[in-house]
Amino acid sequence: MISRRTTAVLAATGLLALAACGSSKKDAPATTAAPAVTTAAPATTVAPAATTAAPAATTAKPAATTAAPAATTAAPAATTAAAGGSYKTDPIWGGVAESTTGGKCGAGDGKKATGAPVKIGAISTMIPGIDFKDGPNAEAAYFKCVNDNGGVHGRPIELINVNDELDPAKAGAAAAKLIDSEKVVAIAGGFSIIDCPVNGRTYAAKGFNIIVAGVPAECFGQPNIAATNMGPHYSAQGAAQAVLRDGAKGKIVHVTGNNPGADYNGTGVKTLAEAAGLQFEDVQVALPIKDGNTLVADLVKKAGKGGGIVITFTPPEALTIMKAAEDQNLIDEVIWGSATPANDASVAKALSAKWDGKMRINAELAPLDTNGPDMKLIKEVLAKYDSKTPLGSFAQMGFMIGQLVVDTLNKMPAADIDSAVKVNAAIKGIKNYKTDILCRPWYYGDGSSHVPNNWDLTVVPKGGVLVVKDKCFEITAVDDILKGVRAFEAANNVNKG
Amino acid sequence: MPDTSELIRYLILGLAFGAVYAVSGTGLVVLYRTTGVLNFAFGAIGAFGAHIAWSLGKDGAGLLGLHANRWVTYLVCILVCTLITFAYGRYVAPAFAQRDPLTRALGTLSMLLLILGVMFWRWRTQDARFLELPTKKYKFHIGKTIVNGTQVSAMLFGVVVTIGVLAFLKRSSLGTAMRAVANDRDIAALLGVPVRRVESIAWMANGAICGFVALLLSEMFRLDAAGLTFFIIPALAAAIVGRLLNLWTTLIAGFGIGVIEAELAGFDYKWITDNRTMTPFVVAIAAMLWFGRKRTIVLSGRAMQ
Repeated sequence: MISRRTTAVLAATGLLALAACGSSKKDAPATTAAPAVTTAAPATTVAPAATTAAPAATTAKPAATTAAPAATTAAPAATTAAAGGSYKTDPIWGGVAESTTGGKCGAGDGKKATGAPVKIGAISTMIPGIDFKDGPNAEAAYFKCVNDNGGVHGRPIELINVNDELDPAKAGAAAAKLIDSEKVVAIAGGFSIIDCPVNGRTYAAKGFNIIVAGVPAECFGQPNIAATNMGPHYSAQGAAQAVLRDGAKGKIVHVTGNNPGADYNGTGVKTLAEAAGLQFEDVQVALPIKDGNTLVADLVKKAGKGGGIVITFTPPEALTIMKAAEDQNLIDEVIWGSATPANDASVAKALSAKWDGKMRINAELAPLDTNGPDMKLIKEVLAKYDSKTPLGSFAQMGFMIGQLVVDTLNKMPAADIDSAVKVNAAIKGIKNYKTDILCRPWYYGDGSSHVPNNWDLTVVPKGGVLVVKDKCFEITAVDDILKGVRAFEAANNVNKG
Repeated sequence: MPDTSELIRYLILGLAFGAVYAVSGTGLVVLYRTTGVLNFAFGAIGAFGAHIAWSLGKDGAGLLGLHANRWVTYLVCILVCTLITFAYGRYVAPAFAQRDPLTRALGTLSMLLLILGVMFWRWRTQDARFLELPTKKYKFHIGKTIVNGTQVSAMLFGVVVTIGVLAFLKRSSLGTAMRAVANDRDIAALLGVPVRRVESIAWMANGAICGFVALLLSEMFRLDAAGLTFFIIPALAAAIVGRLLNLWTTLIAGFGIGVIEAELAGFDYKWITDNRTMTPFVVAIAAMLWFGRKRTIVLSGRAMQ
């Protein structure tokens, strides 16, 4: 009996040790990373001159940032004119109110595509706990619709999406397979935690200008990678802007999971808080959050009465924190903000009225209940071609990437669409792409880094749904990357519609 | 250092959550004491039952378009867990009965992976879900801390299960039979103990506890397949402190781990607050080192001191 028990104790200890390793930063990333990805939503900076005028000044007085967007959207469905063109803005949320593609799948002619498929590659992380499949699934659904409506110059378009399983070796092999074996003409639609850092140089060496929904810093600081989202770093900063606008004082606390790269998530919040004269503290916790009550008590204590707390978590983790704050009656102790991942219908649905208007959630994409040309189309496409994929941020991102690729290919000469060199040159040339999924038109261009989606909005829970609180506003350029991007936009007249 | 009011707040929050570790640890020890099997799938089974309950309820898909009353869903959760453990104990566990404890434990680890895979396949892990219990609406203050009925229920459940199981094992004939089977399955069989029946009952009891714990956790934590599954880890730490034998020690260890983990949140040292979730592992390792003082060596299943 003694020996059996001892052996069992040893076995249990071994499992504990394994679990301990699993809870280290090395393994945790996946779980935590998810939130970041959720954040995607490219929007180009339109910038009526006055709005964009002085990012630096905006940092000092967050309130000023709010004013700008309002001005942008002052006139419902007004046409915003700028040097590069013009576009209509939505009166409700302040984003683009029209579509370059006209809200159609490809040519929209109802003719079946025939011939050899045009192959598009993507690498995504799709493992339990970090499953971004909604993005590529929505892109594939759009391609099906395109193939039923004339395809790309009459030919079908095919998405080859490879699961990297969060394994760098598999991510590297996937890139080689897509480019060398499958002979894809473009890499567009990846939703991966590791693709950018692992394959960024390979893509550059092979001449691929890829489009992704990115999480780590490497997805935003390379000349050949452009994301449709802005990632957790800028999204958390956008939430901090909303928190500051609403009068947070004393200290801002940013909390996220302790996954690799998590340090990057809060740096924008830190710079912003310190520029506004507030203290800052970054808290990184092991995931999943087991005891939300204790964590929330600790966070509120750190922030102090009237301080600000910005969370960067996936919906389940965010909801754990919000439920705990409600249970402990701590909602009104501080001013709350959240990065994009919490912009999810399941979050709003699960909250009580006590949270109404109290959690400022950064949103990088159009509210899901809007019905602009592309938002209407994505709902129709998912209903017809992939009813299992819910309409959400990931689906919006994937769908939009599909639209970008198809629009680019259809604008090229038919003879050139099998040339990866020409296709990638065309992708790089995307400029002022209008879609009602974003705050501002999207672009690629030859900048040294890319954050084409650098305007977003704030939504808050109200009555079980999320409603717009702050219309599209500019993410303040407090770091070198975004300052460079803004300078590029001004110099190249992009993001102007 | 936190002030007194904060220490009290973290103590209460720690006790409430430690109760879950305590109850889970107790469930593990009960099964081990009665069958000799360490059930690593304890959390996964509970998570599965809770997901089924959620699906049948008002927030899920329902069954044939109908959504079950929430009390029915709670019952279903407990029944599903009981059925799974019964099936395992009746039809799978006997195949490992003559193997060493490690192999028997690995059998349950396989069950964990299987159930976890099914949950990942069936339910979207990206969505946020809770299974709310009616006890949550009963709240009272202790200083600055708000305590709800579910937290109190968790604390009481752990104590009640411990007392009940100890009394059952000591005073009932079935309990005596369970202890006999746990000590030596073959000799118990020779003495006429209906081994498979006794083990099946022990597994069913384990499943019922598992279902209760899952219901509590689905509200206190959330309905998360991986999270609930791996709640087994701190519970194992408590069970190890109890040497998989002593229910009271396990219960106290569970509460203790919860309290230590919570109290560490009050310290102003970032490296402490950021790493306080390591508490179960540190406690388990410390316990093993303490037990190791006796220099017990295990050779082919026989202990030498």
